[in-house]
Amino acid sequence: MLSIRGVSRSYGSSQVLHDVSFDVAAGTLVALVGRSGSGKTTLLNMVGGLDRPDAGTVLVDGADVTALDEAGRSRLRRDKVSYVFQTFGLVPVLSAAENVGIPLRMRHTPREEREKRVARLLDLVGLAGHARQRPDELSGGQQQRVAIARALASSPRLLVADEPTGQLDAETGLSVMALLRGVVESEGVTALVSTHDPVMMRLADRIVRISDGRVTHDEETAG
Amino acid sequence: MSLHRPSMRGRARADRGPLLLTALVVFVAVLITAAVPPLIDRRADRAVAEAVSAAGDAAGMTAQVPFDAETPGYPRVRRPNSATVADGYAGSAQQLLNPTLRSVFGPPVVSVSSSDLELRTGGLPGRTLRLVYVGEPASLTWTDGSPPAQDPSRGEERAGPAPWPVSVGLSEAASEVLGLSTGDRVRTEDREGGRVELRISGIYRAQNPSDQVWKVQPQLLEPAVFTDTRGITTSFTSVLLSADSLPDGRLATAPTDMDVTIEFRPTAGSISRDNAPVVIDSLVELGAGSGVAQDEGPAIDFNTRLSGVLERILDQIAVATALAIVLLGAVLVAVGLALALTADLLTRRRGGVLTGLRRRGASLPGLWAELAVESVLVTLLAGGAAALVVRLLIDELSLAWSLPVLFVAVVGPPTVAVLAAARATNHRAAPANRSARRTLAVTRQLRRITTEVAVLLAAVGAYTALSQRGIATNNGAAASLLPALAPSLVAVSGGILLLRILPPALTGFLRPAGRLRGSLPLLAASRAGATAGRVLPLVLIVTSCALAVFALSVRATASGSGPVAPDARPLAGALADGLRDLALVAGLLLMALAVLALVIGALGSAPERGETAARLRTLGLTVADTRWICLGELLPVALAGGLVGWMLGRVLASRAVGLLSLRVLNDLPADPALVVPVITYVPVVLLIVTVVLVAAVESSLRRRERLGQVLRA
Ligand SMILES: Nc1ncnc2c1ncn2[C@@H]1O[C@H](COP(=O)(O)OP(=O)(O)OP(=O)(O)O)[C@@H](O)[C@H]1O
Ligand SMILES: [Mg+2]
Repeated sequence: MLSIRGVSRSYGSSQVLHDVSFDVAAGTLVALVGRSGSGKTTLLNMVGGLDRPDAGTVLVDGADVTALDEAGRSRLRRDKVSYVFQTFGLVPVLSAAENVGIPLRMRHTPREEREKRVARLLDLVGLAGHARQRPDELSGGQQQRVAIARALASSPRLLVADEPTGQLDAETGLSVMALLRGVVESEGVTALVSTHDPVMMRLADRIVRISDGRVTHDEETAG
Repeated sequence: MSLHRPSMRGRARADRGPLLLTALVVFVAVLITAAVPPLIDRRADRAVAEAVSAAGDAAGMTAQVPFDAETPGYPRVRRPNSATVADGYAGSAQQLLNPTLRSVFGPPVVSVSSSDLELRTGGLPGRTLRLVYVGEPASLTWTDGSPPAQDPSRGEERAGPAPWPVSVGLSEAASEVLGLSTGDRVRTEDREGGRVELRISGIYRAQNPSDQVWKVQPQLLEPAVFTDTRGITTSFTSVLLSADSLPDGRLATAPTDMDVTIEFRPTAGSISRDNAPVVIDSLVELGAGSGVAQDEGPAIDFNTRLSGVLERILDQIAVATALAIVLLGAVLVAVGLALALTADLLTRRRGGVLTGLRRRGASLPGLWAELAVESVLVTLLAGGAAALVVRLLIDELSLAWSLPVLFVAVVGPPTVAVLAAARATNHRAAPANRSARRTLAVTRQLRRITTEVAVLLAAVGAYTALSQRGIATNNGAAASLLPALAPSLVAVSGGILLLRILPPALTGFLRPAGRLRGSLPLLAASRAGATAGRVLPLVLIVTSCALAVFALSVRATASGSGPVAPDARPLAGALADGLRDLALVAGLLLMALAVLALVIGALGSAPERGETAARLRTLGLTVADTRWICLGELLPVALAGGLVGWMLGRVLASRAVGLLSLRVLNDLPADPALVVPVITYVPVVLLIVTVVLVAAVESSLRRRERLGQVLRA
């Protein structure tokens, strides 16, 4: 599904990623862990073409992301790779339902189909009753659920989440993590999630640990 | 309260863009406000002298005096002292002038002239002659013959006019036109058919044709000749009497046919704006006594249009000055808003740093002082440079009108910044408790409504003052400030009202935009409402557009070419030019400020827009799409602000035509029709172009950046 091969990246004189390589199999939830500054975000950005490696390739579904031009990268994010961020990134004046509908609108999904899918997704993330609320009328956990629903709207192959629970308290964070775990099962999506939290790691199929830009540890979890 | 110099320098360097912009606004504003008042004042002073000299004959004063009456029934006698008598009349007329008028008018020119005589000898009809005596014109050259003398063929005393001819001189031009030369004897007739014989004693030429004498009696040098469409020529010629031949002329013509005219001309530059009212009063006083015989001497009838000329130019100066004050007021208000906007921009960029300093315990007065050092420096440099330029260019400097600019430039930035820092670090500003939040929201609304109502009331008050009292230009700037600010305050009010209407209207677009299938209309509408809600940019766009349209329309209307009465005297010269230039400069500056407001507004909302764009791009939106969203976000503000401003400016200009009495400038009988020139559309077009440019620049910057980096920021 996702194949990272020999990816390196430096900022100026400091090298952030050193020849990083690993694969992610379809339908799995992989946790990317490491101390702050170890290069997690940098790596995740490579996957959806938000950043480009100095060397190495990133293959999504067999296609080389690093070779895509601007339009290709937009298409990649619209169709295959969805992001969820620590700061939920919802559009403030739009309702939860409208936020979830944005990727569908970008694909010009017919209105009825769009509304049906939005309703289903909100239901999936447990927010069926909050469709018309705006982000500032939702709790942090609820906002992140909306963001996850929005990320799933375009039926992506790969869900990339960069510390999705970073701004949430432990309990809410865990429920969001459980939701991610659930959608991997129910939607058949592949997920790459960076996190600091050991509890969250337990929910993953596999843990990839990087430190100082090198993969130091890569193991399947018992679960 | 110690100032931390390195951090001050660092901040100034980091924000040199907005600081330079502030400096530029201060520079231009001080340039205009320091140069215009003295220029207008100086030109108004000169305008009186210009109007007097342009009025020509109309600025002169004549006194008509009938020659001392002959007693009916008695035989007529030759009065050898006629010339002395005429000169005596001039003396009496001058005696009647008060010291002001005596200082204004030069020595009078006395002339005696007969009524029209028709030349009967030779040639065709249509040749009219007048016998004219003009005292002793010093500078004549007799090119042929000699000056007119007492007729040598008669005795000292005699009765009856005929058959003695009157000796007269002819100008070279007259001799040519009439075909007469020295020694010729011709017959003329007056209207009643009375015969008057003339003998040409000689031909003369003026040594100094520009002498005032020849202005009073121009036909003594050059006959007026007219040829009509059928080719028939008529001519009017004055022939010269000397002191010796004047008594013969009187005796030869009917008893009441000769009048003494005493002609006064104001000496150049003797009437200024300061003494003109006194001159008018003196003339009125003199007019009251005219036609009344003095204790001894003749009845003198003074006649002048000078007071009309002076009243008109004083009126025109008053209107021009009022208009200049209104335009300056417009510049001041718009510049004030622009400076507030640059202060806001600066504060936005420094928000984090200042809040941090505050959290680490910096006192608000300390922060204020640190920032004030910077704003004082910027203001001093920019204002000082402008003042220097003004001083060099016009050799005069008055900073009274610049003070508000300097004040806002000094106090604005630190105050806005400190208020923002105080708000950000005030815990009550974001209470967790819901009801406390509601109370706070209500308080904010109330504060906003109070401000709006205050501005609206000021606008209404100013407008009422303007329509009831007009702008008093003679009792100092203070009294005239409120009415002069009327157009500006109305424009600001328009901006405030639009600020109430536009954001909800745009948010209302969310619904219909949501019904469309694509994402762009919805996303643009979601941003547009927020951007339109930014107070200063929208208010400044509306205000400066309205005032630019106002200034340019008033300019076009005031210099418009309508039907003008033939004897109308439009304000001309340096003052008229100054007014036109001022309106143009103000119009252009206001246009620039409208664009500046839009650009600063766009800069202010750029971080949010960039953040939204970055988020949406992670969802697959293309850079090209973000450009459309940017257009959709900014265009409503630009269009609504520009068009509302345009309409408001037009309305203001059309009201101003009457309220500021623009007809006075062109000496029109009625208010001129409003002229809205094409250039008034320029601000609207500029705003649209600016939006397109901003969108293009933003998207080209966006293409270059790495999304991953943007999301980190
Ligand atoms: N634009 C940049 N210029 C220089 N260094 C950068 C830049 N962006 C990131 N870095 C550096 O790259 C390294 C890796 O950063 P990255 O954000 O990938 O770490 P991370 O593992 O996501 O950390 P965290 O857990 O705190 O989010 C850090 O040392 C960071 O300082
Ligand atoms: Mg990170």
